[in-house]
Amino acid sequence: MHDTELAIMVMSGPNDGQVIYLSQQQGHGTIEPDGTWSLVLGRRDECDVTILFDIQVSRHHAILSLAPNQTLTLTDNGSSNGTFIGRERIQEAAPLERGQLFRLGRTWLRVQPEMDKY
Amino acid sequence: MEPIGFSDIQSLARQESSRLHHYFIGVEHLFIALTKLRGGLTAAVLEEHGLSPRFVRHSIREIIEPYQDPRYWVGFPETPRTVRVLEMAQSYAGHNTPSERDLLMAILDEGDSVVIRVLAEMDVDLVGLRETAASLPNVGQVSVPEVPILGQVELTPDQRHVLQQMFRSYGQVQTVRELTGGYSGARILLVRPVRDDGRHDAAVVVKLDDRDSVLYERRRYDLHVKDRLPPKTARLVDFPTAPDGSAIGGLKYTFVGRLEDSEPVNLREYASHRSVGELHRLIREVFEFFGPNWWLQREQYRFGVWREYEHVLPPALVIDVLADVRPDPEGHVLEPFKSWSRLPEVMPGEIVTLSGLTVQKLHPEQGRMQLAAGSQSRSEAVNRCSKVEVRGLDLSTRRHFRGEVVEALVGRVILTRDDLLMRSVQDLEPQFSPFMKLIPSRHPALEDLPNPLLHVSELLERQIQGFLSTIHGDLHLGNILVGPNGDAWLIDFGWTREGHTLFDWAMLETSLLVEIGSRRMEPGWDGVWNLIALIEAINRGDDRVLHEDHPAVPVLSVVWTVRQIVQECLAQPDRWDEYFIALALIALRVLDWQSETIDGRRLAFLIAALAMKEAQKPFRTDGGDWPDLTQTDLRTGL
Repeated sequence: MHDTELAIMVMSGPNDGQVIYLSQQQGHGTIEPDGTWSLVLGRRDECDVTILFDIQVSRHHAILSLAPNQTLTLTDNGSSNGTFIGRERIQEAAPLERGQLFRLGRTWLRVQPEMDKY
Repeated sequence: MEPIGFSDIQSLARQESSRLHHYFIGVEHLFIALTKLRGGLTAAVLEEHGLSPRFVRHSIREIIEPYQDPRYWVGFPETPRTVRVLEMAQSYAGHNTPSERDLLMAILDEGDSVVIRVLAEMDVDLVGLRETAASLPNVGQVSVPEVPILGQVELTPDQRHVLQQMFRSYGQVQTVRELTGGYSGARILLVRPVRDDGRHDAAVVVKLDDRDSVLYERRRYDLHVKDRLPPKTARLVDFPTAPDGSAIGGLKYTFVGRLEDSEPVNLREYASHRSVGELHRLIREVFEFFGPNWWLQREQYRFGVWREYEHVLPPALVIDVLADVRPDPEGHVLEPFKSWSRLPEVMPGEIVTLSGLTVQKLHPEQGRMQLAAGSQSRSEAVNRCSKVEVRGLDLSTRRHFRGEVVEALVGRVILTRDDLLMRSVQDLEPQFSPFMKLIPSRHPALEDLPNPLLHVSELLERQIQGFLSTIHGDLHLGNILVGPNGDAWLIDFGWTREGHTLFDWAMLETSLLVEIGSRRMEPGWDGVWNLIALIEAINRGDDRVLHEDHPAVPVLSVVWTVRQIVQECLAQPDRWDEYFIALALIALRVLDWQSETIDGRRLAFLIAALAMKEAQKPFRTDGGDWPDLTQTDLRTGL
């Protein structure tokens, strides 16, 4: 079966340059009935993407989802310090492009344009 | 001559990272380090493209921002991106150690770091920049000279090393003398750098202290001082020098103004060698120079006294650590910002668990460390409150670092603040019992005074309606310097913060009386009481005392000037209790200055007692009607 995967690169802070690989087959995230794949980003260990070493990141800070048509959506989860795409603070769900920088707290992240295969 | 090495660049990057409280090495820290190399390639490449290295650094720092987090680890780990960049630089260098150019090329070629994003945002032509970096010939020898140090001041090898690093571009350094002062163990020296061609530069004041304190002071300076200085004064122009592997670091105060062939002295020296009378003018001048940006900011500030003044007192508790004991959830858990540190609930012998306190200072050789509330508030003095001294640590097996939040440390209480204060008073060989409510007067013109030791907690619980402003935080006579053309300057910004406006003036008055006044009175308690009677007259606003025949009168007239300044800074005209509360607590701080004479400390104790008495009434005693205390807003919980 074809696996759905995403790679997120940390773009600032002490983990700058780290790449986090996420894959449906390996059980990351949850799959909604309509086939949308949702990933939780936050400070907690049980998040799919755990952002350590940033006191401005909330426990369950934001949700990144990938629709079956391959569009990405970023949603702020009521975080205290906000979620930003570029310089814009997003209020609710906002579309995200691959390669576009976004920020939780003070940590910048990017969904890699093409999944590197290893 | 030893060429600039890769390790110099890494050390500069670590300094930059500490300065921002990041404590990791990112590509941005490496790049900033490259831009700071004197005569280096990176600076030349940037300038070739019309960019000032300073502006580039500023732009990067604006994006990456200083952190307020607790420090998460010991040392300076490299980010994954830094590891990649260093590998690339190594591949460009082949078998050699990477050069500045290799590292710069690697940063530009990696192409995905914060540095590149900032440069792109500044519309820098990155392709052109890379070409220049690849082709620009080396500008010249970038070098670290070994500077000879001449002069009489004795220095440890560590201290010599810091001075050599600090003046690495000079031919030699002459130590002129040690400026007295600094109760913290820091050394403040006057040195004169001499250039390679033998020309002498203006004397500069250098402070040598443990490296954390030095980095911290620079940070306070950036936050509170830098943009608020009058045109002629001492500045911190360079970054702190904090060499690798050295426990100490150094700061250089550079004077802006005319100082060609002359040496500054501090007010303490000035008063003993020259004239006390001149101090009026100098203190006024400091107030007028700095006042508009500092003490005259007049922002309304209502606060509990403990927030601003608890940190000047001895630790609330001294604790002997119990290494093998697990925290007892049922036992006494002490956390910052709770009132425990100000109330005598905890008794010696009791076993307590400390939680959420932050390491402020380490003394590894003595197995001691100092904890306090930590960093989280607008009023920075509050971060130093709830102070606890921890003893009996084996710091070789259990590592701690400054800024660490200690989650659960179990220990036995050995001493409380009351015990510490009581001991200091017993050292004064008192003629009264330090346990009594009143200190019997030994002067015909004075009534008995309240025993300040019994009123400390009550005073800390009071509320003050005052002003908030930038304050120096340690304004004693040793920190005001006078140049020969008569200008007054401030140095030592390690405690500079937003705080209660009157703090500095209470500190200065205490310093004047204790450090100069106590040397101008008859020795022993009788001399102290005679001087206290004169101070009491000043408290009443009675200026006839300034015409009395007493050797301390010139000092008292300087105190009079300080009081006139205080008058301008009171939040409510004539509500002098705002000042006397500050004075009482700051005078108590002097009790454990072991470098002060016994008479100086005796005087400080009675200054505290007299101020405590004045603080119990809201208006100056020369005013007619005193309002009923219960109708004022002086106390909490009433």
